[in-house]
Amino acid sequence: MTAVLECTGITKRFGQLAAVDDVTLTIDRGARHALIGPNGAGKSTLFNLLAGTLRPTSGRIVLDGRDVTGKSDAWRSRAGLAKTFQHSSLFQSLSVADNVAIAAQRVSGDGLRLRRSARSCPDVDRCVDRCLQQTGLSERSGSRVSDLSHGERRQLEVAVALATEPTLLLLDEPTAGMSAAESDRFAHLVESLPKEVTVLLIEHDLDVVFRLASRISVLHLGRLLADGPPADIRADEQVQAAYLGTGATEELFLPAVGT
Amino acid sequence: MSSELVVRGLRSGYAGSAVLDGVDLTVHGGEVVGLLGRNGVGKSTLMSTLVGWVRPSGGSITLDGKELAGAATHTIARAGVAIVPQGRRVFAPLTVENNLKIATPRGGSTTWSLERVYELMPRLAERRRNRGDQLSGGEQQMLAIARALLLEPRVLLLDEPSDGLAPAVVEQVVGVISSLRAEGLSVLLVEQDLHAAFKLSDRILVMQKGRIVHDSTTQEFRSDGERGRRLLGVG
Amino acid sequence: MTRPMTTPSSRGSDMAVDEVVAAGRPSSRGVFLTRHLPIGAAIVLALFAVPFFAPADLANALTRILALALLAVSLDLLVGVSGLPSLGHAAPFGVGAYAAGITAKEVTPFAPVPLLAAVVAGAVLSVLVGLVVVRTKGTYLLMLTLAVAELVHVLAGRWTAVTGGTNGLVGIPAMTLVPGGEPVRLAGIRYWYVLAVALLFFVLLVVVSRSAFGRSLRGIRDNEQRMSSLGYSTFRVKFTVFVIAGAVAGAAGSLYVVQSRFVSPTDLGFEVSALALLAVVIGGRGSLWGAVLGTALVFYLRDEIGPLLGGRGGLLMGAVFIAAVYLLPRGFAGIRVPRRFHRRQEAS
Repeated sequence: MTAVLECTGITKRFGQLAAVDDVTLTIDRGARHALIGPNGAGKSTLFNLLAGTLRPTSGRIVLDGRDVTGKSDAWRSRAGLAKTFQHSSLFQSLSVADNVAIAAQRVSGDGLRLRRSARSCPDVDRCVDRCLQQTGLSERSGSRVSDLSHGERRQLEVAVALATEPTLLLLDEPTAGMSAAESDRFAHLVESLPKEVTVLLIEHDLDVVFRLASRISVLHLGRLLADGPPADIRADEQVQAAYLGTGATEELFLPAVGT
Repeated sequence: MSSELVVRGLRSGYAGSAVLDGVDLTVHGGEVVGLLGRNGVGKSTLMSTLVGWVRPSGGSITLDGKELAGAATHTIARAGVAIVPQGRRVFAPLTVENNLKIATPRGGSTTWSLERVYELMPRLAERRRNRGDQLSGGEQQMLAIARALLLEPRVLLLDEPSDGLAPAVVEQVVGVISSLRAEGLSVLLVEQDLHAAFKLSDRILVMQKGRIVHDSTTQEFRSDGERGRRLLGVG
Repeated sequence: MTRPMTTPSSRGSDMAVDEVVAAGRPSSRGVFLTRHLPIGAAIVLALFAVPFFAPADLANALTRILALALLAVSLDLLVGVSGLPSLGHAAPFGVGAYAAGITAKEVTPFAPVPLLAAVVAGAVLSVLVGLVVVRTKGTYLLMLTLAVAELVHVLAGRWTAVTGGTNGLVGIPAMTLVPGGEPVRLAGIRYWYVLAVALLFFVLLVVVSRSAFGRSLRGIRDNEQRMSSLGYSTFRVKFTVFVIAGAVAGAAGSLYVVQSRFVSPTDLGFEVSALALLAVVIGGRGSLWGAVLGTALVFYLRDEIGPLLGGRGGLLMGAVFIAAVYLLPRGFAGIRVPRRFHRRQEAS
């Protein structure tokens, strides 16, 4: 299986601090890859490095065989990388459909067309319908963003990202702030995404992670601690230790006295 | 005379999100309650809501029967809820002494005076002329706690006091908090460092996805390693 | 997909529900036109009819207002639609006016030629300024455009050989509508010409605003960072609209000269930029036609009401501006008759 994304020796320093320290990671085509780790692990920094909003101090990032290390986020988007934002980043004054249309029209080239009316771009409209359907928002297409619930806004984030026809979709803590029911719906949405789109998500909600992920990478203190299928990660003692604190788990949990 | 903090059905979030999805908890008088949970479950949002930085969208917060949900931050502070925020947030350009003087209520303090605070944390007394940004992480943490104490709190909220501190320093901070516990102060402690949490807490609460999913004595919680891993570790 | 039980932010009025319902209906160009076209057509017809019923003074005043209204509309494309606040839009306007005046004097007063010269001048200035200024945002953009306009203002006063300096450009001949033909002396004809050209450019700007490109502009206004992460070259989009706005401002300058036959550095001054921005804000940002309304209102306040207040017209305008910002965040164009009002009418 060819890799969609390969990063080699990625390091990001802020002064003396290495927020991401020599991380080498491969995202396989079609994978549902999760990036987890306790707080301060460097997940957000790594996410931003992959997305192109931060440049690495050293290392290489290769997307679909192309070196994108020095390229901007706009460039990477045109190369097939789409991302959602942790705090919903939508076009507030536009309708749901227009939000998706803006993304779709960049791909179709209509975004810079002065004479093409916004209402008569059939390619764009088709793409919008498709993306809204995939994310379960078809009935909300005329609504304003401010009228959507939090969960729906997160769904719209994904619809907008999908409209750019990405090869790799990066999701930044998509279920943050979602109730259990909303998280469940969102997980279902990700499960039903087309197989051609590879998904990499940062998540804190481990229920969602273990439900969706075909592969999990664990970051801790900026370094890649473990990388493998969910079962392996579950069984990994080092990962447990990272989550529970530096002490050995035996010391923390003692058998009940008198049982 | 120790105070009781009761939270029922608390809902809160940012821009419509449901970060807190119906939180129920009680801190009985004089007890230290440890609140645990993985990142992103809403622990910091809970602290922010209790102290009034975030307005709840539903539910109630009562301190000794007085309703505080939705009240302004300064009202909540005057009612006796003091927070030691994550990351300390001391006033960097002010000296230790001035950081504390700012916190002293106008009428002067009865239980917690400047002298008493210095007595509890002699290291701070040594550094009273130093500016906030000249202190080490541990000293800043002491300062943040001292500042909260000067408000004469009825309940003290501690948000990850061990955050960013070396293990030896964490020990010192734990020592200070233990002495407070001996004074009969009601404490809600959010912690990632499980050793510190277990050492200090009478009871353990675990939060998941905006709700409290476990509530028992510390000993009870520690008796089941499997459950502990499931709630706090990976799977 | 059913909506979860989260309550929307408390608005709880009938109006809010109506707005939600209206929003649920997919907006389409068809709906907009069927609702607004009759009113628009009526207004345009009324405007064309003015010379038949009103004295020359009114035609002249309206001519001036139309020129400045076009300036305001072009500014609205920048400010309201694209979110690029400019306090220097008098610069392309004034440069266009000078270009038109000089062309009419030195080349030919045959109207389309000075008009073209003005459009080109406005565009060229905007290209040069835009390359520098468009990279900035918000307050910085506001200050930079103001600074540039002031520079151009000073230049206009100093470059006496070309512009006539502080005395202004005099001796601009009356326009002709036929090459080498009779100069137009009737206020009414002049008015019709200005009205027709202003209308033409207005329609052009509406087409741009409603195009796919226009949607990109709104995207940049709402969330530029998002646009960039979707793969747009936001600089390119902003630069393009900046030049378009400048070109149309230049055209507005030529229309102004057609009536005034005089250009001075004051026409490039801060007061013109400020008035244009005022008109945009009071009229309603982003609607384009709101800027026309805003310009009419500004003139009415300044020239009709102002003298009644003993020359405190400026004070009044300031007060109206503040009121507009607080009470009508979407300007006069944003006022919507609530559905509730209609229902009551039907019931009674």
